[in-house]
Amino acid sequence: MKEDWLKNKLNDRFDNFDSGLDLDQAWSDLDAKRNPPKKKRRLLFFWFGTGVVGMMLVGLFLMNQKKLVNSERLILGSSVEDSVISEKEEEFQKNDNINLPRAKNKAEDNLKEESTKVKERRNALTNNKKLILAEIDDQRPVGQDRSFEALSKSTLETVYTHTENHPVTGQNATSENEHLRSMEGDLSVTEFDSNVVLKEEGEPNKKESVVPLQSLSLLETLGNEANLFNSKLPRISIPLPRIDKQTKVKNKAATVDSKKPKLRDYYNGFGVSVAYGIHQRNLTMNFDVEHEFVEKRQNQERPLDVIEANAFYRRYFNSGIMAELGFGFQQTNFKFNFEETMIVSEEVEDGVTAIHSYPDGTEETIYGTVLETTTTLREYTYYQKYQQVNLRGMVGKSMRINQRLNFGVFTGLEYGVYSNARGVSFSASRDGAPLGSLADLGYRNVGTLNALMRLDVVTELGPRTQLAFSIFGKSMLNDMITEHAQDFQGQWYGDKRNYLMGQFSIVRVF
Amino acid sequence: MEINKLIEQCKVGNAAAERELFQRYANKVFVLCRRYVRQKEEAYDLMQDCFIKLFNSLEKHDSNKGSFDGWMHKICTNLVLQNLRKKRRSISLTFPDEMPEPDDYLIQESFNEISTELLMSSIQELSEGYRMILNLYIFEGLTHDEIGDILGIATSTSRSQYARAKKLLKNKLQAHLVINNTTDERRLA
Repeated sequence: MKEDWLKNKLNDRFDNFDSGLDLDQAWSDLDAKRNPPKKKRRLLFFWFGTGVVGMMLVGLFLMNQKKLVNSERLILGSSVEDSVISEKEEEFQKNDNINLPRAKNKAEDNLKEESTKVKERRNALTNNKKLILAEIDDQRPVGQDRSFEALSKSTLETVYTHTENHPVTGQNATSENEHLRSMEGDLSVTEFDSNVVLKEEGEPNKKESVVPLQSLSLLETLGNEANLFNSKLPRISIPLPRIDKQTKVKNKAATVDSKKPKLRDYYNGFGVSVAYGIHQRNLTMNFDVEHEFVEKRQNQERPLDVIEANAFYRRYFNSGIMAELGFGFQQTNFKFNFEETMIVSEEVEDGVTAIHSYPDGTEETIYGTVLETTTTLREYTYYQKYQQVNLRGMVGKSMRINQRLNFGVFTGLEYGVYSNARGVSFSASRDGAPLGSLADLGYRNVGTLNALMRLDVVTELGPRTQLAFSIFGKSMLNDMITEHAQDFQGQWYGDKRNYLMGQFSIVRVF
Repeated sequence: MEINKLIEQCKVGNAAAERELFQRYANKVFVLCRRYVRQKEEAYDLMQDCFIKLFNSLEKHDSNKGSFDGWMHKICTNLVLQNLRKKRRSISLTFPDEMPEPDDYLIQESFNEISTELLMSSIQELSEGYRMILNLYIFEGLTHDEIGDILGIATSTSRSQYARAKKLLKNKLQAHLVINNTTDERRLA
């Protein structure tokens, strides 16, 4: 029971020991530590930035979709003969050096431009409404009321006929009129030979006047004016022909602008990618001898692999230049193997302490308490997973190899933020002794800046879909410092990593 | 205020209650930390970390399952050990040369002459492995089996290391007593 006296005395002594701690000061310090003035906002900024970029991308996408819908309503269903499309397709293919999108889409874009021109014309004419009304008045037959008020009381109906197919005659014109009226409010991009029929109210057929319209301008003017004063006019309907996608109206090819089609300034693409590869890192440190464990790591670790999954937005410019903005997830895996020698000593009461030899040749063994030392070799194996999110921006250049393949070169920067070190895992050492959690290493919210280089080989899966295989390398520009840098000033370690990966990506172009 | 009421107040975020709890136990936690680390500043930081963890974990405390003192003691000890592990991946056990046998009688008789501060510094002077085992066995009241589990060493190792730590501590105390006695004798002379 000799041990007990020391244990008891020490416990008694320390139970009532006053360490001389200044409690008020200690509380103030604790309070300050519990409520730091401002938390680091690095991660907050990162997510905020990512959110803003994401919203911009979605907004851009939706805007493009809206434009497309409008243009489809006005244009896509118009009567462009297949032969014209084919002709334009050939022209596009001759000029298209970025391979996507296909000529048909560009023909649509060309028509879209035409629509814009028509709109501009219509707006210009709207601004000159008085002038145009006078023009209408001038064409009114003698005897009719020339005042605007009189016009508002009349029923103004327009009949469009295709010159070669629908001559304006009596009942035929009325029938056509009914058909077109049902589609009022829409705009045609093609020109028609049309007549305006002015009828006095109550006498639909007797005082019929036919005003020939030679150009689209007057036709549109009438439409605008009718819409403008719709509230005043009991029935002013200027039915402009809308040709739905399902409705084929044969127009002369000459009515479509035969100018060489122009490419859009840019195209948008959204894609996803997965990458898998190898990595390597260089540890940097300034630890003292107490951190021998860490110093050995560089020789003990075996880099395993790295995997990435990304989503990105890409913009294609006509010059073949591409800009890409993406974000994604990355996991880097390591394996560690190392050995540690543990020297364990134990007091043995019946150990041999000495052997005496006597002159007569006999020996006497003296037993007593001895310290027996054993050496144990510990073998550790454990794995590390570093998980992070990345935000990257790249620019690249596309070059055509042949009709089916493009070659792309990209370069850029990537900012990665390591998630909490909970992503780090480990296995126990082989002799069963627990190993400390590697979360203690303190990789938390650490930002890394990487330089990127990528070589793409691109092919098409469809008219708007690209598939690319890439060789992808990146290298860290800064050290990844652990939180030891914060906890123990003057002691830190970090690492720089290099990656080489193969990547598959698929992009949908809009 | 009774401790359970104080804890309830702390749970609802009463700052005054938290302060009172801190003032009640700060000294005890600080002493605990000082026993494990050599630097007073480091012990001070550790004490603050302990209280941060205590306040954050108060919700988990169930007074029906045990005393607050025991619960607090366990949390603080775990945190201190975790901190020590953070700095070193394994416990470094050192084996000095043969030590002389201390004079137990002398130390026991003169123990009251030894100040607590000297006891503290003597413990702190022990190497980390000895210090941890001594603390865990004497002050935390753990068995050698439990110490072996915590530190990742064999039970027999814990036992032998404790014996050596104790011997080393006694030698330190004895040396101090001898020096003091010599000084006293010189004074008398």
